[in-house]
Amino acid sequence: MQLKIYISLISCIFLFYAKSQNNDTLKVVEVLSKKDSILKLTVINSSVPHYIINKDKLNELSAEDIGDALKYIPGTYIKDYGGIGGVKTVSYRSLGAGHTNVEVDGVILPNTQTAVINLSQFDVFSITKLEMSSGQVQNHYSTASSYVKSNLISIYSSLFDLPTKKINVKLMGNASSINAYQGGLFYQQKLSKHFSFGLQSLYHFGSGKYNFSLKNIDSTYTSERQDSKLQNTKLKGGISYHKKKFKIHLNSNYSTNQQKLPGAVVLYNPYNDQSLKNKILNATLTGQYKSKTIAIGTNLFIQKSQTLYRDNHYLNVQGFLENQYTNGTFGGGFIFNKFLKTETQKLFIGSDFKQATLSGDQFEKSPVRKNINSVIGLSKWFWRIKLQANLSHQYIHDKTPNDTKNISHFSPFISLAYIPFKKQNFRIRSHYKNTYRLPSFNDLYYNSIGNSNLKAENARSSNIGLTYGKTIQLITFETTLDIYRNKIKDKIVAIPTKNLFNWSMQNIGNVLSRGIDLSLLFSFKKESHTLVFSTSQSYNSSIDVTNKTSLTYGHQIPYTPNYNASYTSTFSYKKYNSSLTLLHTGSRYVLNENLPFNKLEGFIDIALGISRTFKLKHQSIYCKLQAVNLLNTNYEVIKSFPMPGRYYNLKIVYTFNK
Amino acid sequence: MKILTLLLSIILIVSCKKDPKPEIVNTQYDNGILCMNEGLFQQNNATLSYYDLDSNKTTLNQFSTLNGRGLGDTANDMIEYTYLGNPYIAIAVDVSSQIEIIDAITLKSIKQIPIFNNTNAREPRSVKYHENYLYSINFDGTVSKIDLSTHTVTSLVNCGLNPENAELIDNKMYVVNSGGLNYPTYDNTITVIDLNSFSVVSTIETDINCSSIIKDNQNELYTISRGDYSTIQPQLLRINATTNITIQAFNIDLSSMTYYNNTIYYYDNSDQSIHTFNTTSETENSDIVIDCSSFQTFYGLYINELEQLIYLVDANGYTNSSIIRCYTMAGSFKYEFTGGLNTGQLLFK
Repeated sequence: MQLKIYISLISCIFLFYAKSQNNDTLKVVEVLSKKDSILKLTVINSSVPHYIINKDKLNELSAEDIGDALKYIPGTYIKDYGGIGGVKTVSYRSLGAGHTNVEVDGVILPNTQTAVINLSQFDVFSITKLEMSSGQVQNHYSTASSYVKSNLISIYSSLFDLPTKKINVKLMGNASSINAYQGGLFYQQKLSKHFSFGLQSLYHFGSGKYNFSLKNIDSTYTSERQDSKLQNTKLKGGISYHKKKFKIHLNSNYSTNQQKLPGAVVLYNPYNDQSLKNKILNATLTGQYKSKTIAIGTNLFIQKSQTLYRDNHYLNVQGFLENQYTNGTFGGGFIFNKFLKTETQKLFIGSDFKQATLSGDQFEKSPVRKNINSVIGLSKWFWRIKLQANLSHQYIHDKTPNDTKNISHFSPFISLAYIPFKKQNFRIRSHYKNTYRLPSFNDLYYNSIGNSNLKAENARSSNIGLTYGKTIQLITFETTLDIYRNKIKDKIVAIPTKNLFNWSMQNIGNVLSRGIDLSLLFSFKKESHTLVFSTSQSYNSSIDVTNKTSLTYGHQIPYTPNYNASYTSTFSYKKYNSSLTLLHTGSRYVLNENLPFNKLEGFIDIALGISRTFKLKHQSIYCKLQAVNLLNTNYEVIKSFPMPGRYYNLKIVYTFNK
Repeated sequence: MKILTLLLSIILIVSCKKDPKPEIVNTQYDNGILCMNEGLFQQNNATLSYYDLDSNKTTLNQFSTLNGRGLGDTANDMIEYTYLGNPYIAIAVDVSSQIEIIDAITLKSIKQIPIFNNTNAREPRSVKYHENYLYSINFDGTVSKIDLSTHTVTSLVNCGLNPENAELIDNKMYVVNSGGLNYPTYDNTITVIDLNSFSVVSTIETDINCSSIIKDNQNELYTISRGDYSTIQPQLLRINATTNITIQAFNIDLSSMTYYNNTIYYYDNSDQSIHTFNTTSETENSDIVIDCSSFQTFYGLYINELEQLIYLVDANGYTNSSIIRCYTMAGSFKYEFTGGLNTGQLLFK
């Protein structure tokens, strides 16, 4: 039945297209987001929630990795375990990390083991842009895999860009008073008119020690966060070929990570000895072509990763627990766009193939997964109405020694946006998307916990919003307001069955979330002064609607604040820049039951940064001093994982371009 | 900037809004039920709650309200004992690795005894009292002897792997070793410790993964072998405590039991009901005493011998507040009340 609806939807798309060929479309000027938009975040001329954080904005936010940066986007909630190397995962409008894809330069390197991406592994060094969109992908080159999930985070690295100068060097040093240090090197050179190559390395290390205070009823437990020692090396190299319409980029990454895991703070037991080692090696080959009539994106990739976890305080005969996993993935895909008169109108079709294997001592049977994702869609103006629609399809075929499993799902997406006034930058937008979070290897096959009968988690999201922008002389004002509704069915959760020792993954739980996301921006620019103030406000009600007789029916789901906000204000004068950012996270519950005892208090995190750029011929030095958690608040994002109090960062970046 | 300042102050005011103060605490704990709530791993939320039989009301978080600090992480056992004529309660707090001693009348903390092997938590799973000493049965395969005059650990013996519980007969302690963290190679022994010499006198071989142990009035022990949760099924094992021989194994899929008046009351997973087992005739009774199929998560069975009442715990999926239901010995429902997270022990006061 559902399939029929989708087929008719697709037919409609093409009918619309055929019909509109004859009509003269009203010339609506649609400006694609400007590269150097002044510290903006929200894309106001988009039919779907779409946010861009460019390099300059990343500098101004107190962001060490993309997880930090995404905290400023309305509707996001970053689960932050704190400290250096601490895990950060994103939840957007109550859709967990499994509903968000992360692509780097158009390629998604999937995490088939857990389906959850740790955002702290993507640092902001040498990133030109960070984007997040919900609904339909807003670029021409992302292949089909980027369409199948509800949300997409896109990272664009400098290495991927065509260098403007012959030699580009960047050296970065960062020291933080929580005993964390970073050193980075970036080198990019033009070899000929069309060829360029680049290398970058980043070394992140430190003991990560910091003092914390944790409220223990009427008393305060103050201690030092230990066992966070980190040693992380990332190497990246790339060769690019650029010709007017054409671009080929070969890229390889190697990273090794050794860290101690500080674990949860357990009252009266400060001892802990866990460690994690990772190694990742990958290579990607990307091709892009764009003419006036078409755009093509293709990619091929291969990745191997190894993880070794060890707990030296495990009470078995050996006296330790060690788990090792090896994950291998390869694949490729393409997308083909046919422009319809302008670049903002197009028909597109694409497909991806991936194969992933996993072996580890917690997997009796090493699963092999073949995954095919496909998408077909369009973007088209009809008078002052913009239609965007796509139909994507996910197919997985899992093979284990004694079993095979197939899951297949169509995901439709449709969006309509309307510009009521010809001369006003005002837009009404709406969209609907139905996506599926496929069960990961852990969900299906992890020793005794995995359940091979799992279905995909189903999420239906709809959004209605307004966007408006106005510039009067020196002042720019922009705003977006969205109201959304997400319905999640058959959530994949681990629950104990039979007894506390027998946990199993099950499709249990329905969630209804409704919310409002608001973003506002004022900017004032006069000669050498720029003042930008922006805020995002989110209200979210996400309630458990699984079972009417349950104790938690109608209760707000865990780790989902009702209210979340961010404020940033930036003032630049000539080569000086100051920024004040404030993140406000409302109180949350750590468990399903909304009891006062399960409540984690809200918190405010204010950061103040001052920077100056020294410019010389071909060279520049950027210095930034930043105070994070200015109020020295003690807070936890995740219960028992206290965050650092006030700390300072000093960052120096030297660049040379000739 | 003014707008910003204004906004900032609004937020600060809004965020400073506090929850109402916790409920008024009882001063008398003489007619009610004290519940030890295990809480959840790494959440530091083990609690004590008290159900007052005079007012029929539950007050949560008694320990923290009275002592100004949390009980800790994952409480596993709670016993009441009398030392020098005064009643006390000892609580084994597993992940925090402490034995917490409180006054049984005021519930105020007397002493917190850390149970560590240098920097390794021993993780007390259960606690026993015998002649002026407390014994902490630790998950690292040891039993610590605690002198109550000094509240310090005076000596230690090794038992089997990952012991879960113990039973006392005269001056002997029978420690059941599960070996749970050595999956798939479980332990299959019971360690017998002479408490006078505080040394291991023998080791009884039984079946794998034993958890709880109780005694009857005929010098016999009963233990639950939990199997391996897949191919090997749970069993009830009967052991002669004089000869240290496993006499009999009953194929009952049970997960919780308690002894009262020549009878073992147990929860049968296969039909989700409470049944009885006669320890004189050594036979199971197929009659259902209490049907628990409406429970979300059966989590424990207790008998108030004085009042002759059965109490059953529903842990509601382990992440929500437990419900404790009271029944007569014949199995008719009387009343219910709320506990904390994973109510794991009851004391009738």
